[in-house]
Amino acid sequence: MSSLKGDLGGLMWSEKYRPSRLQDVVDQKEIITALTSLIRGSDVPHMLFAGPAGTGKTTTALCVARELLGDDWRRDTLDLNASDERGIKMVRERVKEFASVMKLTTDSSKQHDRPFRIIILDEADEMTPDAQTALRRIIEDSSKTTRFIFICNYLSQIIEPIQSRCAVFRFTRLPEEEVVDYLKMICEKEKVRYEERALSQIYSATMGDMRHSINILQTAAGMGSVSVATVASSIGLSGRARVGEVIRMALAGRFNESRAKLMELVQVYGMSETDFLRYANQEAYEMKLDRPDEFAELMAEYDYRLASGAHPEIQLAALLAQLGRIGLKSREAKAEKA
Amino acid sequence: MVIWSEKYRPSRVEEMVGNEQARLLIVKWLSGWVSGSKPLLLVGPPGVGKTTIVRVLAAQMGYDLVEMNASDTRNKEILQARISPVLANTGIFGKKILLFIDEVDGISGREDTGGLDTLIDLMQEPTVPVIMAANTKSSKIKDLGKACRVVEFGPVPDSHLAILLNHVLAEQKVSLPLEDRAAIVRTSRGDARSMLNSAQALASGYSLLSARDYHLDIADAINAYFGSDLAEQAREYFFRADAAYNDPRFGASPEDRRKDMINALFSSIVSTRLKPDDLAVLLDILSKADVLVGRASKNMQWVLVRYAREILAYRMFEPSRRRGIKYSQYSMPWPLMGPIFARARSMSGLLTELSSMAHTSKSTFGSTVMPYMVRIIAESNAPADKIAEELGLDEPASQALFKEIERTKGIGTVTGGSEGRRKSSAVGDSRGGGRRGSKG
Repeated sequence: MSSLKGDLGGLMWSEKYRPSRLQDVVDQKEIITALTSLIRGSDVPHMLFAGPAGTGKTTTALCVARELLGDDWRRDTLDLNASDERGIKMVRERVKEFASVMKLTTDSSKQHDRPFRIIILDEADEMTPDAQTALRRIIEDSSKTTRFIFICNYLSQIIEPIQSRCAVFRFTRLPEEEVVDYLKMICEKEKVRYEERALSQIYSATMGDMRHSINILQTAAGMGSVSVATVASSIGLSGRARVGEVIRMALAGRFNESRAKLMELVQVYGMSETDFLRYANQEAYEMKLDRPDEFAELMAEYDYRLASGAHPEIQLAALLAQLGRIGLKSREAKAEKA
Repeated sequence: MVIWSEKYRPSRVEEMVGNEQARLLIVKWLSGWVSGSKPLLLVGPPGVGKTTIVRVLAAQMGYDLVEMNASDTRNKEILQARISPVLANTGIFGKKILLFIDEVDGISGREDTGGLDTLIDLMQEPTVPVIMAANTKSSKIKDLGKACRVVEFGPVPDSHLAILLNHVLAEQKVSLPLEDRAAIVRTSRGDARSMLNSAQALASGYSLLSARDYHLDIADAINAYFGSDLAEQAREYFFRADAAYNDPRFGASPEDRRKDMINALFSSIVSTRLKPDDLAVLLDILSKADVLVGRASKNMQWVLVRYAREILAYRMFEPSRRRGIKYSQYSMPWPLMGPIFARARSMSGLLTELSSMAHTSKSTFGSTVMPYMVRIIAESNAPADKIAEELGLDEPASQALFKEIERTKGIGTVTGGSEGRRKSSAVGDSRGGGRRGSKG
């Protein structure tokens, strides 16, 4: 599968400048040091990488696979994203299938010292506790030949039994100077003019998410140069900015428009409901609402309902309708004051 | 309140439905009546027009109708005391008299001592036309039958009843779903009066139908629920909906989807223009019920579905009255939803391919890579087909990518556009501005 995959490196700088060696991973020094010595040892554990988006978790996992498995690493690595594989059934089938094929080939692939394959399970915290429990057994059954690398944003969403079977590494948000330096390095290599301020602006918009930062950089560069203006208009393209627009429409009482926009995000751009809520929160924080507490309460309530309900589309639409009421109330309050 | 079966009792013979032969016979008998003619005994099930035709004919042919029925005591003395003067006084008031004795099979052997015998005696060569009616030719009235000319009435055919029902409903400006109407006709078994009673009961909130367990199509149920002014009646419709309550994400066929009550209520509510408050309240109720449905599906706690149903039927009633909510299968007008779905279909494969190349989920890719990537390609003016080839995209995925690129070019700017234009394009979606604008 992975051998048929194309490569985004020719097109997207975020892939082109993705480090391929552990030592090149930006920041996260302690983790890299620990990992480097760990994979030199004879007994490589399962691993769990937790931390915010764009801090190098997936890159690190790919580097580990590359360094453990050598040139054929792609053939022996299964890279799954739990948030896309809707049911546990899919994960289970693909993991099981991969594990069983592997057993047959371990003997013939003696060119590596380590006769195992690696399964990278990205966004593992999107899996339900039930699905995670089911995985526990698979981890045990295939442990002689397979190493798992779990990747998640929130460690608390991973069940204890999985955590206890793994060496846990916590990735932290990248500091501004690290990201800005990396962006500068790219600009120099790509021969792009940039404004210092524009790079800081990218950092605060992405909250240190490296992939997102590089994508904004490249988009702005495509408009001529990386300036405050081109960065601002590039940022407006992001999913988060579009979510902000949905929220503003809803607050303004434009319920049906906000619903259509939301439907576009979910259907066309594949935005998950959890991502929607996360972006909505971030955007609302910057909107300086009259009653941020009311907003937070509403978001919390609908976050819960979304997780337990049967119709995500309906839950989100209901949330938009509640926002419409909040918006109306605050306009009325303002009118009274005036 | 006027009882429909009385209000719509026919006033002319030709307005009646069913039993044409019997009616013709009676008309002929009365118009050819001479003193001494044998009385008539109308026999037939209730509600088929026996009483009606007598009343109608009396009025049409100028008779004074003297009626006696089972509510009167009809023993020998009373019958003699009441019938004899009628028979004797004919013509004195200048008007013809028609004597109608209803429910003669109800004349009790014990309490109405000698009643039937007296009746038979009185019926020998009567001096006024006499018509009697009974439901069955029971042995009790066998002797009476011999003294009379028997006319049998049968049940009114369903087709005739349906016409009558539709007429009455139209007059009353009441609309009942077809399934309800069919059930009313079916369960009335040829009895027009009972049919009208049932219809009235149903229209005013009390179902007297014997077949209570049948289902209504979800569209009819929802229209009836939102259209009814009586809470109890509305709930009755709601509960009778042929509906399902489960998680549509677990493999639902189009038919399942249509029966999905939460979804049907949602699309009906959001397709109606409502005040923000009403909308918020209704969708909040729906959202709470959906949580129960979700938990029921996840944990197989089907009892929760019952609570969801009740919460919906009770809580939605008040805030949804007279808001003009009508059933709608789709939550958005097709001209709006169609293009989104078409794009979603073509994008889905592309997103799967690309997100796996970038080792991210589709959601992350869609938010933090895709929009930039499309813009970068559009701005660079690089040949898109070459890019697609280098990425190893298959034909549908390539086409999807080309479309997105074209779309971006259409919306915004290729190099050199003003900042303002860029801003609006970044906000997205003004292509097909007419489409969006028309939504209001």
